[in-house]
Order: sequence, then C-alpha cells, then structure tokens
Amino acid sequence: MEQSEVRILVATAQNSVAAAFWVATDAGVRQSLSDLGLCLNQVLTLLNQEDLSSRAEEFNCAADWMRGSVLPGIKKLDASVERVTQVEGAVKVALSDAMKLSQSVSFFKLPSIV
Amino acid sequence: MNSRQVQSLTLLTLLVVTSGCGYSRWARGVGAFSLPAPAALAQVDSAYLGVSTIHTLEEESTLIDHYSSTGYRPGQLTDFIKQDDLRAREAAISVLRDYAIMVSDLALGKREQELAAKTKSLTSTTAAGVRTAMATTASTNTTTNTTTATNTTSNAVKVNTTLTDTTTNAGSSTKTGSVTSTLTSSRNTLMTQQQMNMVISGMDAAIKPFIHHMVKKRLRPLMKAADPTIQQLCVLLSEDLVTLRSQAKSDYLVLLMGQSEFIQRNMYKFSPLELRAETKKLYQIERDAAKADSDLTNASDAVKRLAETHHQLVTGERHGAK
Repeated sequence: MEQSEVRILVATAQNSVAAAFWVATDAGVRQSLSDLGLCLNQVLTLLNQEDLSSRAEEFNCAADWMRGSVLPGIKKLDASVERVTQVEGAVKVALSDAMKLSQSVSFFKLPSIV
Repeated sequence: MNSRQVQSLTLLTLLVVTSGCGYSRWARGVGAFSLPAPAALAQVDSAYLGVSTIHTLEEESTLIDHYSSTGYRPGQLTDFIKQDDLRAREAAISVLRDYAIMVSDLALGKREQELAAKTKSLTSTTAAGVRTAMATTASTNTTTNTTTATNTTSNAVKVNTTLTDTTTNAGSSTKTGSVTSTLTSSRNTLMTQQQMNMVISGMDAAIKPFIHHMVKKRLRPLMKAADPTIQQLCVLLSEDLVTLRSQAKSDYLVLLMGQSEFIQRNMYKFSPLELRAETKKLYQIERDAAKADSDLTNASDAVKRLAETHHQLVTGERHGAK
C-alpha cells in the first residue's frame, strides 16, 4: 500500500471517528473515540512529516538549478538593458549640456559681435 | 523624398508598429505569470508557518488534557516541519519569487519607467535653468521688448530672442541691421527646449524597440529552459499543500474533540459565564478550521495557476505568447 493510500485510509477513519464522537452521549464512549481520534492524528502526522522530509532534496535540487543557471542569465540580460539605457541617459545629458552651452555662448558672445 | 524612400519609410514604420504590438501582447502574458507570483508564493510561505502553529496548538492542548496522567516533561512539543525541510521550501519559494520579479522588471519595462522618470527630471531641470538665465538677463535690461515678454511666458524657451533685446539696448541705429542679421542666423543654430524634447522623444522611440527585441529574444529561451523546473517546483509545492491541508484538518478536528470533551467533563463545575466562554471556543475553532482550509485551497489553486500560466507562456499556448 502506498503512503498516499494509507493517508486517505487514516483520514477516512478519522472522519468516521469524528462522526461517531458527535453523536455519542456516553462519556466513556466519547473519551475512547477522542483517544482514537488522537491516535489517528499522530499516525497522520508521522506520515505527513515523512512526506515533507522526503521531498526536501527535490526542492533543494530544483532551487539550486534555478539559482545557478536561470537567474544569472536573466541578471546578465538585465545588465545589458541597463547599459543600453545608461548610454541613452548619457546622450540625453550631453544634449541638455549642449543646449545650455549654446545659450551661454550666445550671451557672452554678444559684446564681441557688437 | 522620392517614392522609394517613402516606401522604405512606410515599411519601417509598419515593422516598428507591428513588432511593438507583438511585444505588448507577449509582455502582457509575462505579466499574467509574474505579477500575481509574489502574492501566491507568500500564501504558500505562510501556509507552512500556519499549519506548524496549528499543530503546536494541538500538541499543547493534548498535553494539557493528559497532564493529570502523564505530568509535565520539558521538550515534549515537537516541530511539525524540521528546520532543514523548511529551509528547502523557503529556498525554492525565494528563487521562484526572484525569478518572477526579474522577469517582470525586464519584460514590463521597469527600465523604461526609470528612464522616463530620468528624462522628465532632466527636462524640467533644464527648463528651470534656462528660465533662471532668462530672468537674470531680463533684469539687467532697462528696456523691455514685447518679444521677450512673449517668450518668457511660453515654455518654448528661445534664449536668442533675448539677444535681440540686448542689441536694442545698445541703441545704435547704424549697427542694428548687421547685428540683427547675425542674430537671425544664430537663432537657427540654437536649440530650443521644444526641439530638445523632440530629439529626446525620438531617441526614446528609437531605443525602445531595440530593448524590446533584445529582451524578447534572450528572455524567452531562458524562460523555456526554466519551465521544467518551474513545473517541478510547483508540483512539489502543490503536493506539500495537500499534505498541509490534511494535517490542518486533522489537527483542528482533534482540537475540537478535545475542547468538546473538556466542556462535557467540567460542565457542572463552570460558572454560566465560564461555560459560555468555553462553548464559544468550539465555534471559534470551527471557524478557524474553515478559514485555514479555504486559505490552503486558495494557495494550492494559485500555485497551479502559476505553473499553468508559465507553461502556456513558453509553449505559445497563451494568447500573444508567440
């Protein structure tokens, strides 16, 4: 029997126990059902914990591959886009400077023209 | 412009417009994956912590219920998820989040937005500088020319018109003609604010398709290569969420049964107010259980959507992904 099948079986048993618990009126029966519910919960917890720890390696491998292969590629592309925009930004600043300069030159050139 | 030049220009315009539309559709597809990703992954991240907290509450409650028979021993509470297992999940979630943010920044134009902000600030700084220069010049003049007034009020800053005012101030009727002609020629060579804006807009229009082409051409293969791992990580997270959901359901059930048992055993020892408060807890637990189950279902759906959207995007099934 596979782990997932055992989990389904435990969950079904737990639901049956709970259904019986809510209709039981006898204190002793209720106590027994509550204890049984607790036992089933402990079994399920063990199964779940095993499930979670068995996949840690797969998570690690996949995350490592993404971190080592994909993200550096995107970072590299991001850097080249940044360089292009920087060049464009520099040209814009140069344009602005040229405009300011052309105006200043006109101001100061005037007396010599006159 | 001859007919061949007109044809070439029309073809180029069509090419730029068409590639621009294609890029927008593709970028929208990337956005459909990357924009909801951080919130979806945050839901998954908090699911681990949430279920661990519920499990600790269940353990604590059981230990309290059995105190009379088992007594107290330190270290009876255990972690539902081991630290190493949790770290593996956090690493996977963090790498997926980084991936989604980086892809989104590139495809949806974070760079373009930064650039637009830079251009805006540059343009306004320049305009302010020129206005200051004009104001200074105007204050040194004793005579005011109507042309200067017109230019000061308009944003098209033509500093060379101020020069005409200055020549008028010289007051020499014989020199005015030659100076005016010199200034008229210099007026054509000076760049106005309006002209500079036009050049900058032109640069933006020219560089955007280039950046879009570069991003689409190089990002798509990377996303395609990442897809099997994205799918694998999403499957692992989805399976975890199934496990977490079954654990939360079971823990809440035990909490509910434990609380009900506690009330039954002590019903006649409680004051009416105490009984009311303890009974109220039953409904609170039930509500919490329903909310946890709904949150875990939503997280699971969000992860599935994430995987599907990414896969459709790289395989071209999603509209406009090609």
